[in-house]
Amino acid sequence: MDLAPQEVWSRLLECARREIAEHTFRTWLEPTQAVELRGDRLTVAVPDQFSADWNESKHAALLTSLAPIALGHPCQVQFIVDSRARSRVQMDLFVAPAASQTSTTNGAMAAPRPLLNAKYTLDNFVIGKSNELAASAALAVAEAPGRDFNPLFIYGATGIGKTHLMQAVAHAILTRKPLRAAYLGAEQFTNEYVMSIQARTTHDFRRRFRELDLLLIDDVHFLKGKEATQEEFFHTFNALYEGGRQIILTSDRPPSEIPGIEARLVTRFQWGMVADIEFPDFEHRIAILRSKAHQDHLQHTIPDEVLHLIAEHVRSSVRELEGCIIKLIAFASLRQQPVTVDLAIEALRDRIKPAAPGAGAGDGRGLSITTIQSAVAKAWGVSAAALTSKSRTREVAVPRQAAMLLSRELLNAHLADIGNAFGGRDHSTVIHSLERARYLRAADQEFAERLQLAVLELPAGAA
Amino acid sequence: MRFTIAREKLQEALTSVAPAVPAKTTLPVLANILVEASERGVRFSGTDLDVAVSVEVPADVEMPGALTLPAKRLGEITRELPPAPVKIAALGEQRATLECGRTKFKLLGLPRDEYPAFAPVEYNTGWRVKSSVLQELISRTAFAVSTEESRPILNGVLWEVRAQMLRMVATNGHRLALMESPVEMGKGSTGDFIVPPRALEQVRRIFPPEEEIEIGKGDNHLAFRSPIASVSTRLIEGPYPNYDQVIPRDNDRFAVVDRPSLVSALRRMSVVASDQTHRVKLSFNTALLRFTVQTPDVGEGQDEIPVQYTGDSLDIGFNSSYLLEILRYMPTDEVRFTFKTAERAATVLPENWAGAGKYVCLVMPLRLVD
Repeated sequence: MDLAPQEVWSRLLECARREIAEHTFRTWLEPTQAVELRGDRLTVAVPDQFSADWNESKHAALLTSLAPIALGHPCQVQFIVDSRARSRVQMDLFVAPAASQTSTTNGAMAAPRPLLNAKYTLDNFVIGKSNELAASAALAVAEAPGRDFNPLFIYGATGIGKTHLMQAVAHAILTRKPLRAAYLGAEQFTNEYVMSIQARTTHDFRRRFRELDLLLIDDVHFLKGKEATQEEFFHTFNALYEGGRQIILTSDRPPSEIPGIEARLVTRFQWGMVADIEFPDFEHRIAILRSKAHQDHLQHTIPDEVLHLIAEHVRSSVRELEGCIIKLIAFASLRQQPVTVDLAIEALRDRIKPAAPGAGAGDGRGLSITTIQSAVAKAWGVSAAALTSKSRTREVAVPRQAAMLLSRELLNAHLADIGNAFGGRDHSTVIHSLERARYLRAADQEFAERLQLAVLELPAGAA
Repeated sequence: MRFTIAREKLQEALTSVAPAVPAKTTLPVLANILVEASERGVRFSGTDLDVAVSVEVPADVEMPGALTLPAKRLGEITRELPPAPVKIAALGEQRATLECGRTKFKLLGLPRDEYPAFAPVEYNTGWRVKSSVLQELISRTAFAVSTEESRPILNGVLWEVRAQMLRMVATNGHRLALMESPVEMGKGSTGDFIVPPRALEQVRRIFPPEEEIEIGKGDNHLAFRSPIASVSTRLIEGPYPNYDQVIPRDNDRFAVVDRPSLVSALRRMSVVASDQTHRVKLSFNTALLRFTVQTPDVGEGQDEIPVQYTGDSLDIGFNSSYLLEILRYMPTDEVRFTFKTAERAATVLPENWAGAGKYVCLVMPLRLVD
């Protein structure tokens, strides 16, 4: 699912071309090259410092705001001077030379400043069942770094908040007192180590990392197979650990399952606290969406139905949830329309599969909400029309709840669609009905039997 | 349209306009020259849509009118004509006859209506400059512009108009030329323009040195005119990089060198310098400037010239062609170099210059190790 940085950049540019005057585009954005995509941060190389500053001040914000439309998820664009320009034989007036010969000594003296994302704070981290353990460990580390949980090892799938949590700890610690901290990806660690070997500055490299108070390494699984880097990391780790300095690591899987990592590193990763983050459940997703909407001061514009709709359909990652919100808002402001369920379906049609909008649509086996309705109506001896009527008498309400349950379970239909198909009912009504029907199925023998009967009435192969 | 014009006048007009006519174009009419006859004379104009040049020459106009004629053919014919009056007459909208003595041509052109209109420019800035001032600013700076596509802003010359001064700056990132001339432009005058060097070249070429040139501004256009000629150009939109920031102020090593001997030493050395980098190492010592070239697959060269040098001795690498170019436009026989280190910009200045303005060139060194 991850695109190459060049691909991401060219999609963004295509989108930007429509927003920016042609000559401006040609002058400032065309002579650029994507170099790295790390999480939601895209790094783009430009020929000189001047272009970097200008693009940063004039175009970075626009490009970042276009990302949800072009890519479907947020992406921060950052401009740097092309590293090749820095090391060219012919030096340039507008390019600071690479920090290789004379400046390295100064570089080693300065405490490395971690590049933390200001948004990744503990306040913005929504705690739910899936990340409870990791979050409480993180809180403990933030309270007393280097004491109980060292290292803190957080693992989980991409885009569910590992980096957020890790940086949040750093934010919490650093706001209390200024420490020497470094945050970098394992790949960057590798690159810097390789560069230091080339420039014969491994000594500076070691000093830089072994004199830290707080080391955050993202995606340690990238160290796999890189033996020399692992060796270096091993020693760095020991030096920090013995000095009681806090180390936080993230990975996409638990330490023991990372292939190509030396056993002595694996055991060290397990010394402290290993906490996982799982995919958030529905309620947690809703909470995350609310928090996201709240952070962006959007609470008045995104109705709850829409949040439910998104939470229903987007299950794979928090990043994607956020992407949906951003894309939706961008879409709405482009259209100058308020956010509604219909607009959300249109804006997020790549995420939200159009399922049974009332009658007609089915799953290819002749099964649809309509067929379920008629089967249930038959089993309970009511008319199918009654199920979609406004009537709330017990005779009609119970089979209606049963039909909703089957629609949900057999068709995996969306709450909103079920609501629509049953006389335009609200999705929250549907949630209630489903709960009620589930309860009845477990508690009421007769209800369960009728439900079974209805299922048998359905077209062949459906059950 | 019918008029008679002296052959020399015709040739003069065509040579002025021809450089503005694009060699290749997707719009066929741009390969033509617009010829407009009126009571005042005949005006010839050419444009590639970016830069437009037009000149007016005296002629005996019998009937006013206009049409466009192929620039290249018209120029080639005129060059070969005998020295006699040339009679040009339109035949309908897009054909013309040209007669000179016993020579006769019928030329196919295009109707006047097809010729693009020039961007509107208003001469309300009140700016007037003597042509020679602009000529000097242009010739001493425009050579330094970039031709690379990766930094389009640097493909233009920055022209800054101030109340009492005109300044031009050009750079390709590796070397930079800056010149200021004191000129009274009028109180409150201010304007920053990034001008394509092609347009400036026409300005430099077309107006005689003594002519007063009027400057006009349009929407993203700039124009120069005298009673008989005009050049207008599209501007490069930008911000121009902060050139002032890269001009070194703390250089503390100085060298004064004889320009002709430096030029000839560099020329000799560049023969064996690398074709890519043109790298020559310059070693400055108290009284001696030593040149060293070592190009692995070519050979080596060494040379020495006398120098007045103050500061710790310095080894520094340069692209010899950048140095030679800068030296070509230096107005004095002796030039002053200033340095900080082998990784910082060096400046080149005219020594004991009698000129009223300020002229400084910058050149970035080449690394001595790859």
